[in-house]
Amino acid sequence: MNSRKIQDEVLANIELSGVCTSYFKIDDLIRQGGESEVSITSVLDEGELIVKNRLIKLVNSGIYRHPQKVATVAEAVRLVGHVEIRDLVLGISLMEVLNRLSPDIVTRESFWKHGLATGIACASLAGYLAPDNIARFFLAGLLHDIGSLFMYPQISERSLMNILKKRHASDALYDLEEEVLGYHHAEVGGVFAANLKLPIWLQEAIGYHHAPMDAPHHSLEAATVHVADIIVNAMRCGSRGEFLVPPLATGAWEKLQLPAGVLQAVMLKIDSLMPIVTSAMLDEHVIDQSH
Amino acid sequence: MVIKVQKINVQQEFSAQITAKPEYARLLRIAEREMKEAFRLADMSQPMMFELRGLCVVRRFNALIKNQEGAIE
Repeated sequence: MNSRKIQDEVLANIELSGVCTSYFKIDDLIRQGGESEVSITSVLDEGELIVKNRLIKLVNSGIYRHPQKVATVAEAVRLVGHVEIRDLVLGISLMEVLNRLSPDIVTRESFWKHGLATGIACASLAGYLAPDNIARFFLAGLLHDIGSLFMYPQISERSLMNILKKRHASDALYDLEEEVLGYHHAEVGGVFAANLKLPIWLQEAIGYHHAPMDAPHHSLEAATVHVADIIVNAMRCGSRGEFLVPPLATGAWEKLQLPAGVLQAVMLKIDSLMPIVTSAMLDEHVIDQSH
Repeated sequence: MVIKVQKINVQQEFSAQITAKPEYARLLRIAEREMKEAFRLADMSQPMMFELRGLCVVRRFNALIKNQEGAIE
């Protein structure tokens, strides 16, 4: 991975202070062993109202299998647990910040629908793989393409035209990015996640989602995002600009150790949850943008 | 009418429907052609990708039927 080049060409002017404050406070509480329903609720009460509202909607959205609905943050913390809430808060907070950026080659609605659908697909796969870590996988899917948001606005018009012209040929978009720029969006996202000091598993799930078996420590998370991304591209559920279904990396599906019959269940889950999760996580003005 | 299938051998699965409504054969061909193009980079000897493409053909076929029936109504 060409981290230095990515840092210099893409991320040099990205300001990170004050981003995801509530997440880091909850993470500190958990690390110190001092977390409780009251202390986590208190952190969230000090933060933005929109994060709390989205958190409640997301817990009620159906990504979890429990039938209960929650009305308050305290109930949400009690129902899904401290670590899950911490990870959901990170996804919601980061999406709030990044939602202000334009992905350039697609609409914001299309970009985030692709992220949300991939998040649902990852959460659905996690139901078989790691049922106690639904939020971790949802988060990885939601954020997997964030590198595009930084990369495309920074690259030269000439490089952009080179990538877009070749997009109609027979290469995956990330291969074209690599060919023209020397790096691709997944690597940019991985470096951004490292700069923000996000957890290693998330850095790898984002940074290696097109080469999951190269992830040094967390190939299960990276492989889950890789497979979920392929499913969502095949379903044409939002887009980050990819025209074709990306190829499946050797060993990625085998890593999940799931029967092929799971695919249909994941696709049904995406179809049924997308309207609810989109309404919970995207502002109306973003949804209206492309109409 | 929405067609549900578990096993993905698309032509075989839909033979009864196509016999009953011959115009569906054209819609199935469209769905198959679109997915063949979308999966151009995929290695179809990988069972997961083969299964996924089959499911996507069914999904697209259902959407085309729904559109056509909506247009007739």
